[in-house]
Amino acid sequence: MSDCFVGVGLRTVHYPHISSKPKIRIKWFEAVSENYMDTKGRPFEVLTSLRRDFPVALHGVSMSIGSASGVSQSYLAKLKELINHIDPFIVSDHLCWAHFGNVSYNDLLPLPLTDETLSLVVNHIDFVQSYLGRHLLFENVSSYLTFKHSTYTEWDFLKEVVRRSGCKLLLDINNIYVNASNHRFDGCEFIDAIPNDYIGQVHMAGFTDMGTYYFDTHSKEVSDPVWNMYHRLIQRHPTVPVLLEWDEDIPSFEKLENEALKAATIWSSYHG
Amino acid sequence: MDNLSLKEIQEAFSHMIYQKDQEKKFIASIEPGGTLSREEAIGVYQRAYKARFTEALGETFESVWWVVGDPQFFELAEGYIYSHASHVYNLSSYGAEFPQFLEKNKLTQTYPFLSDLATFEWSFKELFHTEDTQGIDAEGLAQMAEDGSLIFRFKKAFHLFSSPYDVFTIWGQRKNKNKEHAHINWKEKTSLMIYKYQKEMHIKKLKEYEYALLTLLYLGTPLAGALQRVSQEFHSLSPQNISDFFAFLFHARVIESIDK
Repeated sequence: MSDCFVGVGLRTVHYPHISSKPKIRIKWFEAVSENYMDTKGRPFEVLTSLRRDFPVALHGVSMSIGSASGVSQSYLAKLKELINHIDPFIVSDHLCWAHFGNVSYNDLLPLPLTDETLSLVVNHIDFVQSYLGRHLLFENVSSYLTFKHSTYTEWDFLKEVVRRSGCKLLLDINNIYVNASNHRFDGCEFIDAIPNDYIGQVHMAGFTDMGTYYFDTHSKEVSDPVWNMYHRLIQRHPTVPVLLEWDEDIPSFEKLENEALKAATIWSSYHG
Repeated sequence: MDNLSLKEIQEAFSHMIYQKDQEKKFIASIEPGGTLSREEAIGVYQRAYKARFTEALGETFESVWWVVGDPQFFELAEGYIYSHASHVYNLSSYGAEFPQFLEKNKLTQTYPFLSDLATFEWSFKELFHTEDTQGIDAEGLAQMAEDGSLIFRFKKAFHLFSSPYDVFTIWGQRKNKNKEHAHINWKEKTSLMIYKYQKEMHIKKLKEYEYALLTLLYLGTPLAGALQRVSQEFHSLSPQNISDFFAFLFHARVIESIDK
């Protein structure tokens, strides 16, 4: 690999800029799957057009792979339709639950890290990967509580999911840092525990210090400790695609690109 | 203490997020993050739930928010959120029953147009996400003159809207931070067609006879029958009025096909 494969999350506020076909310095885009599954309007047209010029990853927030009430078949059908249209190079979602029964919470809710959860998640991933006919990536989520009866560390749980299901991880380094701070573990131990070939993509983002906990807001620049953890990973894993997410107080596209390209500069310091 | 199963955890967590119950066994089963108490840790998810759905409603019903202001909109949103669970995976699809919810709210005494305004905003959002198709152009006009039994099929990206209130003018002011709705004469009937032309959203104010004619055609009334009924109701209607209106319809390409 001759360069760092850096992308940014596609957000509606940047549609006018992107549609004007400016010179874009990042290499790829990630689109939130659900924002394009029920539309044939402008968002769909923008994504379709963008796909002609850039690789696109589809990143879901509502698959609810850890839901005890199962994964929605109608959701998967819509996702498959979108995948067939966009032909993304990555399809990902989160290792969490977001609905129970027929009620959606539209949130990334934490799972107890137990054998029961592991078995259910692996079965669901197996089903979804078979249905979609491709391997998926699952992201580690930020959390503000854990369960006393969890029997795995988060990194051991993730590794078991990968080992048993054949999926890969979308490693969100900001989420590792937020969880390490909130739940008092060593984030570097987490990073070091995950083998390179388990990691299919990296997310970078900013969090907010709420005083009593760290909150995963995606509302600001990536913090220095998170960049430090990125250093640790990228020096041993140069080929992993890296993506910057920004979802609140979204800056201009130029500022977003500049922040994302810091990842490439760091990459170059090791591999350039 | 027996550990909660995954299903029991998700059931209890759901109740807690939805602020239905205090699930003591669930609370006892968690370790809070940071320096939060257990209740505060759950509160993070409860607040995020409310904020997320309030934001979703605010994005779709921007002009309702503009009319009632922050405190009343947040109160409305809270009332709706905790009485209407989400069954959609896409947040922007949340709020389908908000117009009906508003109908029953006491705020309609102050703002009788509020539910209609919300209906308009929901329709606009729905149409925004609808695929635009080409529609028949002016050649259709020539075909139309030959046969009164024609039935028009309108394209998906077309919607008729009518209200006893001028919700269109209110909606048009929604981004105006310096103006209040009190300055708008909303006590005026409005009929609109919302449609896409060349993939862009358009809204046209309709005259009463135009709305009546379009409604009949939209419902599948054959052309001659629709024209006859509208001519009986609107005596001053001239052939030129009709001709001009059809010229516009074909220019706007809102008719998908014509059946005989």
